[in-house]
Amino acid sequence: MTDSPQTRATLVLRLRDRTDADAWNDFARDYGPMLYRFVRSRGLQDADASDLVQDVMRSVGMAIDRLDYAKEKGGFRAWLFTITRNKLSSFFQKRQRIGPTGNDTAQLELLQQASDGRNELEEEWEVEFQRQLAARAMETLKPTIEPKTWAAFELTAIQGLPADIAGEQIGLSKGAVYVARSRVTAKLRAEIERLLLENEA
Amino acid sequence: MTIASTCPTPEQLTGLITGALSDQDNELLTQHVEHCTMCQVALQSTACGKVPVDSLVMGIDQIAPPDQSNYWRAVASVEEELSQSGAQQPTLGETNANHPAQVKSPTATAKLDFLEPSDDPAYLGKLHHFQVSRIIGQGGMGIVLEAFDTHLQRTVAIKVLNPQYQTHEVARQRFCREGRAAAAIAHEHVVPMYQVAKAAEGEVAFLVMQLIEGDTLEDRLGDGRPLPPNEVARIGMQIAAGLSAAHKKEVVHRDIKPGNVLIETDTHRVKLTDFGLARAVDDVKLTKTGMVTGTPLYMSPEQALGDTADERSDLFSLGAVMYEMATGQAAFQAPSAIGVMQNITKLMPEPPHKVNREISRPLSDLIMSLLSKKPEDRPESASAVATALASIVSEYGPMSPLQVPAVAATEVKKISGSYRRNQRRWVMAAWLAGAIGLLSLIATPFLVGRSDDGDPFPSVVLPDNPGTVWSIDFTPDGKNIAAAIEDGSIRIWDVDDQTLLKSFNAHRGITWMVVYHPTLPLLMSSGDDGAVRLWNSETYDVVKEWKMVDSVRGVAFSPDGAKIAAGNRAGELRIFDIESGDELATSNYDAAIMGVDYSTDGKLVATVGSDKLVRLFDSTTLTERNVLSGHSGPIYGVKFNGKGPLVASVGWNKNIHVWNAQTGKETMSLDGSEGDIWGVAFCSDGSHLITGEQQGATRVWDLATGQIIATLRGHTSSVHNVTLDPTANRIATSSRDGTIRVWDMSSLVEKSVK
Repeated sequence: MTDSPQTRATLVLRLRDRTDADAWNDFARDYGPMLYRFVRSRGLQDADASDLVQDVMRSVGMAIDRLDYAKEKGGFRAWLFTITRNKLSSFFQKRQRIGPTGNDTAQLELLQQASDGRNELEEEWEVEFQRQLAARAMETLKPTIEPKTWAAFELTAIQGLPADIAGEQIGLSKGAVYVARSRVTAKLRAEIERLLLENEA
Repeated sequence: MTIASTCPTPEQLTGLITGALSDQDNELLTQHVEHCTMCQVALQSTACGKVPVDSLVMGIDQIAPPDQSNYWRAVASVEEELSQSGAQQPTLGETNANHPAQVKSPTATAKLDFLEPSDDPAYLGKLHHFQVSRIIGQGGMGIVLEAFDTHLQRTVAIKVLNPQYQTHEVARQRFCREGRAAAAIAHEHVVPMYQVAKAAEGEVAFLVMQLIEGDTLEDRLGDGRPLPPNEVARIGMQIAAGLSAAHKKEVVHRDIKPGNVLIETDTHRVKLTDFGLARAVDDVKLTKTGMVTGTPLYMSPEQALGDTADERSDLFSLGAVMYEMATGQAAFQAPSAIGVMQNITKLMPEPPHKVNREISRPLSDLIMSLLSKKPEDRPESASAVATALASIVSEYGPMSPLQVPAVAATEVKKISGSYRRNQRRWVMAAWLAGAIGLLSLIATPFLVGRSDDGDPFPSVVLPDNPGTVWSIDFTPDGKNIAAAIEDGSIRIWDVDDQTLLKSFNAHRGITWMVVYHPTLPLLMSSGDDGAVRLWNSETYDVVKEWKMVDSVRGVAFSPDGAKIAAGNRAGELRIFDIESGDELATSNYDAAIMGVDYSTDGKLVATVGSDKLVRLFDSTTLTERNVLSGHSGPIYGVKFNGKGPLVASVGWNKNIHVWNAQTGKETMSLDGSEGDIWGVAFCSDGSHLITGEQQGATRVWDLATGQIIATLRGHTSSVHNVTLDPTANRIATSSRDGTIRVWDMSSLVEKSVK
C-alpha cells in the first residue's frame, strides 16, 4: 500500500460510486480485518464471524447513500459501529431463540453486552480501530526505517522477545535494542495520532 | 569509559528517542538503559505518550484473519455482489426477468416516505416501534422490509401494502382482513404472522411476520433447470401440507407461485407466504382495469376466466409450480400474459416424465392431475396431495436423517389425521406406503445410533411459538394445550390437529406459568408483571386477578380447586381463595421462589428457589413445617407425587432429588442427566418421574430402580416444562426453542405391562 490513507469523507464518497471497485477493496482491506477481529472478540466462531462481517459490509453497501457524514456524530466509524452492534444483537438474539449449543449463561451475558454494554463494547471497538490504524502506520513507516532498527522493534514489541535475545539475533546490544524500540514506537505514535486526527476531521 | 550512574532526565530520554543527543551522550545513555530497568520502562513510556502503542502492536503481525478462514470467501462474495449492483440500479427482490409474461411494476425502487426518520443511523427509518433496516423485496403487492422489533427485541419481516393501494380503502381493509385470516394459520410450512397493523385512516397498513432466512423457490428455479425429483416431491409435499393447514381455516392462498415459496436455509423447510393477499390487489386492479393481473403463469383456469378462486385453484397452482420444478419449464409459457392465460384454459402441457426422464410416472401423474382444467377432476384436497407425495418422497430413499424426524414425524401424524376424514381408497394405499416408508426412515437413525440419541417415540410438534415456551398444561380432557410464552402471550393449541386455536396477551413481560383448574373451565396464569390471573377457558376473559409485588414464577391450584398458592421472586408466598379472591395466608422469606406445588392431600405447600432449599409449609397457616437441603444450586421445579408422600425437586447442575415429605428425609437422588434440570412431573400412578433438561433432552425415570428408561430428544434447546396428558399416555414438553412436543408413550406403557 503506497497511496495515502483514505480520509473517511473521501472513502464515503468513493463508496457511493458503485462503479468504484477500488473503493470497496480499500474499505474491505482497511475495515474488514478489524470487523472480523471485533466480532470474534465477542465469542463468535470463524464461520459466524465471517457471515456477520459479510452482512455488515452488505448493509454498508446498501446504506452508504444515506449516510450524511456531515451530520453524523463520530463519523463513518461510529456509523459502522452502530451497524455492527445491531447485527451482533440480532445474531445473539437469534442464537438464543434457536437454542445455543454451548453454555447458556455465558451466551446470555454476551447478548447483554451486545445490547446494553455500550461502553465496554465501544471501548473495544476503539481499540480495534486503533490497532487497524497502527497496522496502517506500520506499513507506511517500515520503508523509512533502518532495517536493524525495525527488526529490533519487530522482535520485541510485536513478537514479544526479550531485548537481550532480540539483540543477539540482530547483533545489537540490549541497550541499543531498547533505544531502537523506543524510537520506532515514537514515530509510530506520531503517525497513529496523525491518522486519528485525520479520521476525526 | 564511564557508564552514567545516575538516571537521565526526562528531557534526556526524549532526546535519546528523537536522536537529538550527541553521539557520546547517545552512547552513554544507551549503556545506562542496558542495565537500568527503570529507564527501560521510562524510555518506552515516553515514546508511547498517550497512545497505547505497546498493546496495539503486540501480535499485530497476525492481524488479518487466518488464510483458511471463511472470512476471505465471505468478503469476496459481498464485494462481487456490490460491484454487480453497481452496474445497474440495485435490484430488489422479485426478479422475474426470465418470465416475459410477468407484469412488472415500472417503479424500480421503493418509496419509503411512509417511514419516520430513525434516530439510529443504521436504519432506513421506523414504523411504529419497528426499526427498518433494509428492503428485502418489492413486488406488485407491496414492499417487504427487514426490521427490528424494539419491543420484543427480535428481527421481523414487515410487509407494507404498496403505497399506491394505500389510498384505496377496500384494498386496505382486505389486506388487513386477509392478514388476520392468515395469522390464524399455525403450521410449520407457513410463515408465522405476528401482527396485523390496524389500518387507521391515513396510516399505512402492514403485516409483521417471522423473518425467514433463506431463498425463494423462484431463486432455485432461476437457471431454468429442473430440480432433483426427490426435491420436487419433498417441496411439493411441504407446500401441500402448508396449504392443507390454510384450507382447514378456510383461507385460500390464491397466488401460489415460486416467489411465495420460501426455503429456509438451515432446515431446507418450505414456508409459504402471502396468503390471500393477491385479493387485496385484485380489488384495485379489477376496479381500475376490469382485469385480473398478478402472475398468470401459475394461475388456475377459473382464475384466468375471472371466476372465484377456491381451494382447488391453489391445487392447480401447486401443480403448475411442481411442473416447473420437475421440468425446468413453466407449464403454460407464452410471450404475453394473454397468451399464458389462453394456454392455461386450453393447453395441456406434455407430462413431466416425458420432458424429464428422471421424473417417475406416479409423480408425473400426480402433477398432471393437479393441472386438470376442471376443479372437480383435481385431487380432493391439499392433505390428500400431501399424503400421496409423502409416499413418493419415501420412494426416493435416502433423505437426510436430520431432516426427517422434524418434518416427517409431524407429516405422518398430520396425514393420518386427514386420512381418517378421507375415505378414498387410493389415498389410503398411498398413505400406508408413505407412512411406513417414513416411519422406517425415522426409526433407522435411532436404531443404528447410540442409545443416547433418544428413543423413537413418535412426537408431534407445535412449532413457531414466538419465544421460549416457559410452561404448558393440558386441558383436563387432554385435547388442548395452553402454553405460557416469553413474549407475554398465552397460546392454546389443538394437539391432534396441531392448529393454534387462540393466542392472546396475558402479561406484561414474560408469561411464566399456565395451569388449568382441575374441574372448572378456568386457566390460571402468572407473569413477570407480578400478576396472577384466572381466565375463563372458554371466553378467555379475566375472571379474577391478584397482584403481587414481583414476578410470579410459581403457582398451583389446591387439589380441591378452591385455593391457589403463588410464590414470587421477592420470596413472598401467598394463598388465595379463588371464589372470594381473599388472601388466606401469607409468608415471606429471603430468596426468589421459582416453583410452588400443593401436596396431593392438600395439607402441604412446597416451594423451591434460589436458596437451594425445598421448603414445606402448612397450607392453611403457611407456617414452615420442614426444610429439605441437599441441592447444590438453585432449584427450578418441585412436584408432589399424586400417590404417597414423595416430592421431587430439580435444579441446577443435574440435581434431581426425591424426598419423603412426611419424614423430611431424602428418598433418592437420580444421576444421569446433562446440565441443569428445569421441568419435573410424576406419571399418573406415581411410579415414574419425568424431567426436562437444559440440553434439550427429556427423561423418564423408573422410581423403583432409579434408572432412566427412556430419553426423548428433539428439542434443540432447554426443555423448561414437562407435563402429562391426564387422559392418555402422552408427555408434553416445552422448550426455549419455541416449540412444544407431544410424545406418545403408549408403546412404553405396553412394554411395561408385559
